[in-house]
Amino acid sequence: MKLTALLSLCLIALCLLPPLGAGQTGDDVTISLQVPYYLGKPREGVGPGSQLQALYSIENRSQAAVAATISIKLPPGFALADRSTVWQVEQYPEGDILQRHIDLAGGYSQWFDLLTIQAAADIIPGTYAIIISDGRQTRQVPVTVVTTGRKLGNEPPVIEEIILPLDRDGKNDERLSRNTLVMRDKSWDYYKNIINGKGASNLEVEALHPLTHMRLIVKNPSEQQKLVVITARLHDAHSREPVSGLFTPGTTGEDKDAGSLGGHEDKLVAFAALTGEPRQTVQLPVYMNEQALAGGQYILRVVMEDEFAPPVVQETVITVVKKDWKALAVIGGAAVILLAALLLAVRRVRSVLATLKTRWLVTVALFGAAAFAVVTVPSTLLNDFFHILMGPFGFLVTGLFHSIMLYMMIIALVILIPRPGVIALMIIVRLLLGMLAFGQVSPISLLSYGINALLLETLLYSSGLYSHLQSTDAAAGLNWQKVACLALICGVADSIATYVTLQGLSVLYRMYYADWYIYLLLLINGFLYTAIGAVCGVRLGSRLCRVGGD
Amino acid sequence: MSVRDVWEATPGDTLVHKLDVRTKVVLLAGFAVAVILIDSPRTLYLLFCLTLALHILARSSVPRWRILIIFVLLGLWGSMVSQALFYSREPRTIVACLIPPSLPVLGTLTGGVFVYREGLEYGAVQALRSASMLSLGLLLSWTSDPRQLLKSFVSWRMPYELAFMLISGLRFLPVIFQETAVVLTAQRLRGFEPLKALVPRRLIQTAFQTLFPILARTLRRAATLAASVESRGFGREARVTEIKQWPASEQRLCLGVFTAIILLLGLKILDVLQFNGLFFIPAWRDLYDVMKVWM
Repeated sequence: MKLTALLSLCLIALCLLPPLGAGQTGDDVTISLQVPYYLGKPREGVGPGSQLQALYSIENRSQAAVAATISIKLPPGFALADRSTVWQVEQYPEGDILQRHIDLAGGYSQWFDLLTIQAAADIIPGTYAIIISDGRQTRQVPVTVVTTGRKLGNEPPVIEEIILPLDRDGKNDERLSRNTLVMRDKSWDYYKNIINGKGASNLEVEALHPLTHMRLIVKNPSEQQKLVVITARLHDAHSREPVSGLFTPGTTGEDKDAGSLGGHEDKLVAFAALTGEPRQTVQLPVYMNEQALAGGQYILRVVMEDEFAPPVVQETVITVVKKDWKALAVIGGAAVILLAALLLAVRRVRSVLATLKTRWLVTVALFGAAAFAVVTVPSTLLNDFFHILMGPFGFLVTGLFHSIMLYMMIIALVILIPRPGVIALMIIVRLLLGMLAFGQVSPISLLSYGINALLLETLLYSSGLYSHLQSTDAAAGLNWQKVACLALICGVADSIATYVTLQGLSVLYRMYYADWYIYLLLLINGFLYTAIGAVCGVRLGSRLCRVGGD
Repeated sequence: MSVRDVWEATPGDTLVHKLDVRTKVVLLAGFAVAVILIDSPRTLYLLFCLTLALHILARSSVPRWRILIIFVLLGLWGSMVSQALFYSREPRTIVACLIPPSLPVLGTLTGGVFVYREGLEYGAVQALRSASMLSLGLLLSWTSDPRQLLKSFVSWRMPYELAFMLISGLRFLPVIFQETAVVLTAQRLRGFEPLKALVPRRLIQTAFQTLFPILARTLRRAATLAASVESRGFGREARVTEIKQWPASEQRLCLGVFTAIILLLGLKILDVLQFNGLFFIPAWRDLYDVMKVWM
């Protein structure tokens, strides 16, 4: 019974003891050495004259601090490649001994680093042992030198080709144009993820998704084996200055500002192993910041370097395509709304026309013609002229015609004939005259005039201004609140129509406009001038009523 | 060059003149869609040259060529200047700085305004779209009788009243131009120089004093014209639209153009789908290559 209890106690004690691995001693300090080390890739042997990496690691699991002296004994024919490191090298006929001192804090601490070792060119193939020791424990790691039977030259590795875009499996997707990257608009990702059921996400999470992948074909005639740092960066195609756009997402919270965007470096950095194959492919994910990058052509420069050889550089021209989905959505939405309004108008136009007197029809037609003569013609001729003369601020002058004068006429007509549809009819006459006389036929003008007419009619009708004007004397019927409302309606309608026109030019005619220009145009030309024109139009209409009103 | 040269059609005996107005309108609409679908500078240039060739075929007079050239160059120039300022693709080379970023207010607002060399080139290429449409639109208005054009619209179910309004506007356009010129002359004689002193209040006053006499006369003319047309029975009798038969060959041509545009649209959609990596038919690789060059 006593024997059984004793055996049980021993068993429990054995279970409670920490497991003992290779090279581990009872004092909780562990050393390890991986050689040749190729980022976890298996490699059977190294060739004569090649460089190989050794990853050594020392861990302290005890509560007490440990001071250790690591020594690595290299067999004859192997030498430390970089003598400028912290290692002390003692040379002996039976091989070099490398030594360094490391202090490990108590609790848990680890130290690991890479060593680059050069195998002699005339080393005899066979198995050699590299010995690592910290004075308390010793490990022996075999390294096999193999011969290929071929005479290898001294040519350094080169990046033969850069291939992109690829999918994450490295397949060359035929659907995608070579060297062309289509930027994805991430601004709506938050809402897309909510709609798709993925839940709320943020830029941090989305930034972890690479835009695409690229493959580097590395030609390595001397079959060198080494670890390299690959850096990819975008450069201006003309000045060749580096530009922002590529980035390396951070992986831990210790990177700069923490999080996945914390490691932003304006370049893509990756660690890769050259395994010694004559031709090797290295695949890298490509992370791009679409907000920092404009569309166009860039030079993608990939630099492959280690600390011993001169950097290897390869460049390729890439095209970055940035789609303006917002403009497309604006145009699409406007076109659908306009089409629906047109269908409705086609059904109601005859009844609207039937309610208008012949005199009103003629008045609207002549107002349309006058608007064409006084607004469209000067605008057409002067618009480009003032654009050239005053640069982006030419609209300050041309806006006097197509905002102030036009809205003076439109509102004067509404004061004279306060019937729904008169503005639309006047705009249609102006549009068709432009088409017949100037050949101004384009989807942009249809969209611009159509949206303007639709908004003005809808807003004036829904605000009750038409019915108010019908029921009161035009000259005295509008107090300042109504005039302000009229000015606001015209300003809003013209601003929206101007915005749609600019987006139409951007999508259909591929024109570029700066944001500040769009906003300034909307504010001054679209809203301010139009509102002034509307207010003046009330006065003009009231005076015209005395001349020829009903 | 008189103002009438700009919009009035002249009769002729050329192929372009002989074409039915409806055919021309359909071709114009097809062209409008085509220039939007096409991105290739070389195709845009060819289309623009085609419109010029049609002007040669229509034997457009020298004054009209002058008008066409002035309008096209103005548009081209405007587009080049606009895109030189706003071009946002890379690479771009600054050739001049209009507003330095360090300038108070404007510099801060705009972030600097520069003239980019690539923008000038890009603007010139993109202006080919509007130049083509302008050239073809002017060809239509110079070679087509507006009455025939209106009859075509009416035959396509445009309301009669709207057609009447349009013809009234077109008929009185020269008169309105003349009146505008008279009013501006009168303003100048009274000492108004609207663009000399860019004072907002003065500009608005000028606009008011220019528009009022023009619109007042327009109102009086409308009353007279309305009385005149009503006395002739406008709006009471059945509408008569005498329009000649649309030749079958031209109808077939229009159908062909319509089909071509639909085909072009389909190809463009395929090209966009391929470009964005959404849909690709490997067997059509040659077609994609052709589209890349020409579309």
